[in-house]
This record gives sequence, structure tokens and C-alpha cells, in this order.
Amino acid sequence: MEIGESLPRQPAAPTPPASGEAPAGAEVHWEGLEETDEFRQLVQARWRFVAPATVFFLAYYFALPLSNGLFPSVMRTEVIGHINLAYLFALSQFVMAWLLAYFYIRRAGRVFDPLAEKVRQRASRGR
Amino acid sequence: MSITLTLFLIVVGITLVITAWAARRTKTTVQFWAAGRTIKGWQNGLAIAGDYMSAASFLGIAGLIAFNGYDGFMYSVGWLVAYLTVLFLIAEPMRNTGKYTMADVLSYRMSPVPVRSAAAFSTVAVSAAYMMAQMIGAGSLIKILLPDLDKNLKPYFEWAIFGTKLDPSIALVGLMMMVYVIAGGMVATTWVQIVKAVLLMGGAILLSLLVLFYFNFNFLAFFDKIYSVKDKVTHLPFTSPGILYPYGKAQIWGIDKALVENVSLAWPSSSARPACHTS
Repeated sequence: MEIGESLPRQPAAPTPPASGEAPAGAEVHWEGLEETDEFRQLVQARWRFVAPATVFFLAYYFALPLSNGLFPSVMRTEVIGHINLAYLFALSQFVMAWLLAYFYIRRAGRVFDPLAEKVRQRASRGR
Repeated sequence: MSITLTLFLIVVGITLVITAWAARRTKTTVQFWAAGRTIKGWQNGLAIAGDYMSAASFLGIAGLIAFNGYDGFMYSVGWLVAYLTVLFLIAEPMRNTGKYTMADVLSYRMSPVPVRSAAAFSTVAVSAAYMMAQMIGAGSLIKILLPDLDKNLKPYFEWAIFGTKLDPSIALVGLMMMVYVIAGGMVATTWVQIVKAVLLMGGAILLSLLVLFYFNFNFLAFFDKIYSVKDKVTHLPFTSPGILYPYGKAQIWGIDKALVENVSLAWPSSSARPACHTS
């Protein structure tokens, strides 16, 4: 599923407790929702992906200036023609960023969105 | 009328039409701040990309690479990776709160007055520094591409605020930006950014193709040419790291060690760069 797809659904789904009051008409039980298993599962599933991914991309990114500064002679090693390791490493950052974004979108469609749907059902059902 | 002036007026015309169209549709708070939550994922993606591809990336990064070779390119990678921070840590939690601005999110859980004051102060402080560079860049572009426009506007700017004369080109850019945002809200801002993103990416792809065409689509010949350019201070080839951010006995990533030890901040500038490098 695309990330954008969840946006138009926003008006139909109950809006988050923005003003602290339940939307008129609908029976939505926001109170205590954060203590339900469904909500905990959603938050945990998100963090299980986001935390390691963030640590990884920060480490991978800072490895670029660090290695260029600390091991310049290694990074100047030419691989193909005059294309050196430093260029290949910098270009691999583009691949890394696109791949991580792709994995996030796939995980969001397969795991996060169904879990969020369960939370939404729980909220309309009550405790 | 010159071609550049015609193109300039066409682009300004398109963006003003978008703004007028958006202004007529914007009636509520949600419409003003969040474009009525009708912006699709790809549209928002292009708009955020357009926001990034500003004067800073098109003039700044191009200039950094032109003067410093690889190190300028390495600098630009940081912008790309920063997208992941937005994707993982900011975008979704922020959207889920149903709020419009960062200050709204923070003051929802915390005491609103101090949080809003801090958020407003940091927003103005950051924007002032950022916008100044952006607007001076855009103003300089108008001066280079449309010297007559700047000259013709000059007589209307013969007055001063606190002893400072306004620059006609920069004032024109600032005035147009204010019209876009205040009149059009988020709908106009988003669509203006989308138009900008498409124009800039189209231009960048066209330029890349033209450069590659010059080298008969031979990447190795392209890199040979870059390699043949040497930095005047470090004598390093332009494909090599360490021209803008030298690391060694006297400097750490282009910053003088003496300054680091004195706990001061110093930015590398080409004029102040000592002839020192690691190789």
C-alpha cells in the first residue's frame, strides 16, 4: 500500500483526540486506549523497525565523513578508472536511503496499517 | 523583451494563477494549514522535494562541487539521508496528532505558553538565517539574469529603513513569497513547490544528459576529466576527498584545531583555508 493512500481516509476515520473531546455522533473510546494490547502492539511494531533502522542509517551516514577524514588514502583507492572508493561509498548512500524508505513503506502497508485498523476498531468498540 | 524576462514572467504568472486558485478554495483552518488534507502522497513528496531543492541546493551545492569537487558532493549526501529522519521519526507521529505545526504538537502535551514561545523563537531564528541566504541567492539570480529589471526597479527603492537601503531584487522575491504563502495557504505553497520541483528536476536531468552527451555517455571519460582538475591549495584531484574538509595535524574536517581547542565555532572558508592537508 502507498503511504498516500491512508491520507484521504482521514476524514472518514475518527480524527485523533486533537481537542480532547470525542467527535460528535460517533461512540469513540479514546480514554485508556493507550493501555490496550492493540495499541501497544502497534507502537512496539513501529519501534521494532524504526529504532534499528535509525541507528543503522545514522551509523552508515556518519561512516562516510569519518572514513574520508580518517582514512583518506584508503578512500582515494581507485576502483574503476578514476572512480574511487569515496565516490562509490557516497553513491551507495543513495541506494541505502531508497532501500530503507522502500522497506519502511512495505512494512507500513503490511504490518503497521492492519495494526492501526485494529486499534481503530477497538476504539469504536470500547473497552 | 528578452527571453529570460519572458520566461521569468511566465513562471511568475503560473505561480500567481495557482495562488489565486488556491486562495479561492481556502476557507477553513484545515484548508489553510494542511490543504484540507487532500494532498496525495506523491504530491506531498514532490512538494517536500521542491522545498529541499531550493537556492541552497541549486546554487550552493553546485557551487560547492564546482569549487571543491568530491567534498561538495559528500556535503550534499547529508541532505538526502536527512529525509530518513523525517520519514521515520517526524512525519507519521506528527500526522497522527492531527496538529498543524510543530508548536501545536509540543504544546498539546506540555505547558503551551513557554513551549510556543520557544518554538516561535527558534522558528524565527532558524528561518531568518536560512531565508536570508535563500533570498539573497534568488535576488542575485534576478540581478544576473534580468539586470534591466533590477535597474528599472531601483528608482522606487530610494528610501531606507534604519539606514539600510532595500535591494530591489531581494525585496521583490520576498514580496512574492509573502503573497504565495499568505494568500494561498498550504494549497498554493504545496503546488508552487510541486511546479518548482518538476522544473528543477527537469532542468537537472536535461543538464546531466547534455554533460553526458558531451562525453559520449562515457562515465570513465567524464571522471578522467574531473580527475584532471586539481585544487590550487591542496593539489588534490577533484575526485579526491579532503579539499574542503581537510583532516590532519592542524585541521579537523576543515576546522582549525586551535579553534576547536578554544571551544569556538569556525566554518571553513576558502579565503581562510590554510595550505594544509593530510596526504
